[in-house]
Amino acid sequence: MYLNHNNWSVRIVLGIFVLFAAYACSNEEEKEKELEVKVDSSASTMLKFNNTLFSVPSPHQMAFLAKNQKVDYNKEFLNPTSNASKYTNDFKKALNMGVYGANLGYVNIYEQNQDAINYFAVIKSLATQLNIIGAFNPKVISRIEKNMNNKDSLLYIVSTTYRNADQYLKDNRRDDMGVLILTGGWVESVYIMTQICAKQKNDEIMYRIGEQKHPLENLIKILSPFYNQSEEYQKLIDAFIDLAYDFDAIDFKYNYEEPTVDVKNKLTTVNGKTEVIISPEQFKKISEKIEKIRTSIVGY
Amino acid sequence: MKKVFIILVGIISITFYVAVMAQTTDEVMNHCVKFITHPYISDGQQYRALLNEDEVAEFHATFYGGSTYRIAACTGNSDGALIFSVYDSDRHLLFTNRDYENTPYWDFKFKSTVDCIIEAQLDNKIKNSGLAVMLIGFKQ
Repeated sequence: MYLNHNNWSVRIVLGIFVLFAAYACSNEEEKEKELEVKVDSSASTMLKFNNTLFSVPSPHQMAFLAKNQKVDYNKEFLNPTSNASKYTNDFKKALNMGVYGANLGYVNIYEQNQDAINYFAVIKSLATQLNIIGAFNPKVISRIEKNMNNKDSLLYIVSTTYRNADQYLKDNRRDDMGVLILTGGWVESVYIMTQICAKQKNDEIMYRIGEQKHPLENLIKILSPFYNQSEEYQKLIDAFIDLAYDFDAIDFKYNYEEPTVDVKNKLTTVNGKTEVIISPEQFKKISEKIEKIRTSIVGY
Repeated sequence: MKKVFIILVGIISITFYVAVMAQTTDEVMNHCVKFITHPYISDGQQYRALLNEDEVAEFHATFYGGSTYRIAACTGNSDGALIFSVYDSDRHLLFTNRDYENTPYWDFKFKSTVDCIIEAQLDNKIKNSGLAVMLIGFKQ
């Protein structure tokens, strides 16, 4: 009886093992066929805070605004690629991977191809050091390198790659790194906007800076779970909380208007209007604080 | 011997479960990314929540004026099982895909910057539990 039971045990275990092996093999074959970046996933590592999720707008959208406002390209606003080798810990590397991602978007939108090549090289290097090169597989790298002269394609591929990196980090229980990349990107894009406005007053860009109130609140909520992880996190989050007080002083007026729907094109036009009232003093204070935070990120 | 057997089955079952869940997530993602194609550029993030029955995932986002966005929301590898609704910060309903056969994506043109709340829940007539994935793309 004991032997029989043992036989059955072995058979069951072997059965499960064969089932698992068959599954793993079929999955492997499927992955080989895939052309795009694929990452392993686990539903147990969701970015989920009491079923509430927070978004931070893409830094590339800010760069589009600058270009549309006919603001000239200015390399001085960017973090020099030569700084990359000076970041020694993962905290700084992840933040600056976000910074350089925003820089790559900026140089790409302004069609500065040589700069785009340099910034991409730095991002690739940081991704390797952070062990997230899995999101930058050779096919993607080759696609990026081939599309350096194609502004739209490059931006599409780079943004998709950053999303894959975000998923890769969440899947591998490294949400903290993903959040830091997001943070670096946000800080850099707001910093560039404040620098543009400081050189030449631009109402559209100033309003866009004022509109960062909710993205900043979202960023603080995303970062908060890591507050006790290290002193670096504490300093960073405290600086954002301090900055949030200045954003709170900005006056917002929102008026709802009925949206219009174009069913054929699956398009809803949101007609509500937000008015942002930001004084030069408020702008100056925000600019100074952003510059201080940015210096602490890109400094070494 | 019995203990070893139980531990072994446990380990294999957990590994198998994780692998199945990984495939589920990848399936949902692979399906959802098809909707964020050129000219829409990803916002660089991926949002997901595990939903059961009437659970609702709430999602806070800022959409800039002058931009057009595409929101894609999926669960599983077929369409129509996820309901998503977009509200402004005063909770005015701006859109719900319930009105359009639970379509997995919709475009939104924002005249002015609006802070929005997106709610996602399973259509319990089709599905009672599953992983919900939401992606955002923008075009200028």
